[in-house]
Amino acid sequence: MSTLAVDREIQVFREQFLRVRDEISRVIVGNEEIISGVMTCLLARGHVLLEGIPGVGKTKLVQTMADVLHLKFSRIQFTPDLMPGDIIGTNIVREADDGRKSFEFQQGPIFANMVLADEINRATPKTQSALLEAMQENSVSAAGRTHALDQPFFVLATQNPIEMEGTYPLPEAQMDRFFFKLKLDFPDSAQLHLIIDRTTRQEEPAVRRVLEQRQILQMRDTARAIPVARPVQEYAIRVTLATHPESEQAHELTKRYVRFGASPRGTQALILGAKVHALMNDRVYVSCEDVRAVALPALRHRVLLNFEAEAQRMDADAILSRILEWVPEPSE
Amino acid sequence: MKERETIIGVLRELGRRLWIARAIREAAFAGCVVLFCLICFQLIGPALEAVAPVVASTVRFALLAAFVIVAAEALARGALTVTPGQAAAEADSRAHLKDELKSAHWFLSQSATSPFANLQLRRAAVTAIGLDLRALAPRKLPGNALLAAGLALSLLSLTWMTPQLSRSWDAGGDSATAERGDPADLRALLKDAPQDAQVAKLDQALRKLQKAGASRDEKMRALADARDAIDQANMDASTAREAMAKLADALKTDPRLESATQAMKEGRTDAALAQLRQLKADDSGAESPTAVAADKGNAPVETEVAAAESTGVDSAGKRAVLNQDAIDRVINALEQANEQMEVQARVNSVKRRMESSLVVTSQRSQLTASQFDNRSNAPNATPAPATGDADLRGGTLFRQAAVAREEGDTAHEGSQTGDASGDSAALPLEGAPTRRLDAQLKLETITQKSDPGEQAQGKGDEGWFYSASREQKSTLVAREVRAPSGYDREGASSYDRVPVRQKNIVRDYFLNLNESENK
Repeated sequence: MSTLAVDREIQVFREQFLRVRDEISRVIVGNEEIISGVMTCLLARGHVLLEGIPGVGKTKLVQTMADVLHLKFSRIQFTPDLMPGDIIGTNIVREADDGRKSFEFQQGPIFANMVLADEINRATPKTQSALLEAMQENSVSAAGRTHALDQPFFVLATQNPIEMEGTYPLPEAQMDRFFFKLKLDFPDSAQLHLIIDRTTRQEEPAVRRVLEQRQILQMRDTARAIPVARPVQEYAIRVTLATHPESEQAHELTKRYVRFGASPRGTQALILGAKVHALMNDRVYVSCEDVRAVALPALRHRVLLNFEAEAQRMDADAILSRILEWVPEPSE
Repeated sequence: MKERETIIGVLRELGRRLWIARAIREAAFAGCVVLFCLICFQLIGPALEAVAPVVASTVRFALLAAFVIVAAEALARGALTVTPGQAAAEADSRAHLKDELKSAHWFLSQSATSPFANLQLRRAAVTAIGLDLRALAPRKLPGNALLAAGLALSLLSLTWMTPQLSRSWDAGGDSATAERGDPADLRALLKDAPQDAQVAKLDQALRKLQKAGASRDEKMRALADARDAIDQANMDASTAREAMAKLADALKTDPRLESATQAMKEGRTDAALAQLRQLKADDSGAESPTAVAADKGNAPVETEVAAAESTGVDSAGKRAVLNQDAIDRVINALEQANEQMEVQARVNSVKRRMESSLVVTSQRSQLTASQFDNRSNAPNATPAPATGDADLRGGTLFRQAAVAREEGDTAHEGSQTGDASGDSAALPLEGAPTRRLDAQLKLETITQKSDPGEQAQGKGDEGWFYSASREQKSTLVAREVRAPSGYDREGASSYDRVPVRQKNIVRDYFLNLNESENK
């Protein structure tokens, strides 16, 4: 491939990315960073966990995104009585015309390109873990057979951070499988005006499909092809190690407040997210600034705080911000 | 590849400029450190050498070692060249290139190429060509170079103000105190001095001080000899002055010598000599009516005084006059005294020069007068200011410690409060003012009721004791009022109903509980 072709590919990537973001912004007010974060997860072959209080547009964002992308979408409302079979699917007995009976796998809602796991923390851990294999392996196993999931496979889970009664907080292993954890903040006054204007009229703004499945897969390949220099990779590793309290490179706050640091998946998320961020900024290489830009959503759910941090009301974002200010960039 | 050559070329040029700038910065930093140490030593060195020469030499060696270390460190840092990778990182940082050149340099160092890496190299080459290296690594003096120049100027001016210090450094930095003055200059002061044993001794001592290979002990001994010679010369001159005054008293019986004796009393030996010589010339023709017997020989001034006192007055109590021979001997005596004073002037000029060169030329005891007296164990007649106790052993030391005494304060020498020789105004007392006992206590008289048959003793029905005065009572009440406010604070609790004082204890308990559960 010539450099001109690569240049063109990057331009296309950027244009398509911006087109999706602009289209979603017609419905979703503000939250440009959240939209970019969700798109980054999609293009980096990851899954996203959206956290926010009720009514800030988590579900609406995912629905709008499914509309904008020409992908098969399914929504699963997680409840305490939801069973794994309800997600994955079950074998049913099918009777043929000749009277012969056979088992046939009835695909569950997970067989889609975009899966919205709404209020994921309301389901039991057993049901939550049904998502594990699908999210990591892009395949599901049922009745002794493995079924591959169609690509792109993208799970968007939402959870409510304040209503904890009757919920099952996600275990660390499952949290780690989410590429990003994005926090939706409450809109400000101007954004509230816009929301009211858009949603209380006779017709709501409609979006059009701007991206095909093939184009998404192409964008994924483009993002993966971005080269990363060793110094930048070294920086990402330093940031990861700085979250480990037992590491020599640990930050002072880490040693005091962190129980477990980010996993290697966290470093992968840093690099992959940084690649998409670099492409979005019309660069064909990853810089330390790209790593910093994606560090908070990539690591905040992978850093487990101890009791003292909770007692002192210290959250992971504050610790990570201090780490990002503290970790030096490699000089060579 | 064209891009490769372009990027590497720019990075090498930038690295060269960065290396030069860093070398200048490191050299300036090393200069700052060295100059600062030198200035400090110039400032404290003389005092240190006067007080503790051993410490001064140790400090000098430590400074020398520090110079060597700093210079070696500066050389080591300056010798490290700036690699293209470092130059790329620096360029990215200074030009806000977001790791463009750093990444390009990394891709260049790797043999594997991809279309994306090639595109990145092409873009980086364009960026590298557009870089203004003069703006990125300007060739200007760093701030610490200006600081080093300022320090150098300060050192020069300091050295100019104390030239003997620089001479001592130039001479090799021997720690002996005697080297502070230049013995060669001092000896020049004695060049035309009259022949005298003390002058010879002083000259000998100065020669030893001048000797290049002399050891420290030899120089210290020579310095002690010089001190002795100066002291002795001063003593001889004092004796000569005293004898001259006595001679003048003895000669005042001769009316012809009235003005000469007046000049002798006033120490104008030259004028006295001139008048005596004139008198001798006048009397050379005619003998005086009364001859004064005198011993022959070159007797000292004291002998002449004795002779004049014993023979200058006749039995009738009339004024005697000197004969020619006596006048000659008086002239001789005056000439000797003149020589002694000339010697004194010379040695004192040497002494002043040495003192201005910070050489101590007089012996001074480090002990104070109080340490010679025998009052340290005696009861102190002066009551202690705090307690009023007069029978205080070692009161002298107590008083001595309680006054403000400055370091090297010789103006109040011997006048420390409580010193045996203290006869001048006492220095002010330090510490909090002592409250008088009558401000704290009040003498109260109480009446004792005695039984009807009981016999009164002493003051009869009255007794007395000390109670707290009104001022003391109010002070105590105020303390009691302040105390409960502290208890209130300790009893306060926050929203979680945990007392503020116990909050940390509760938190530690739960933390430990939590940690033990984890184990």
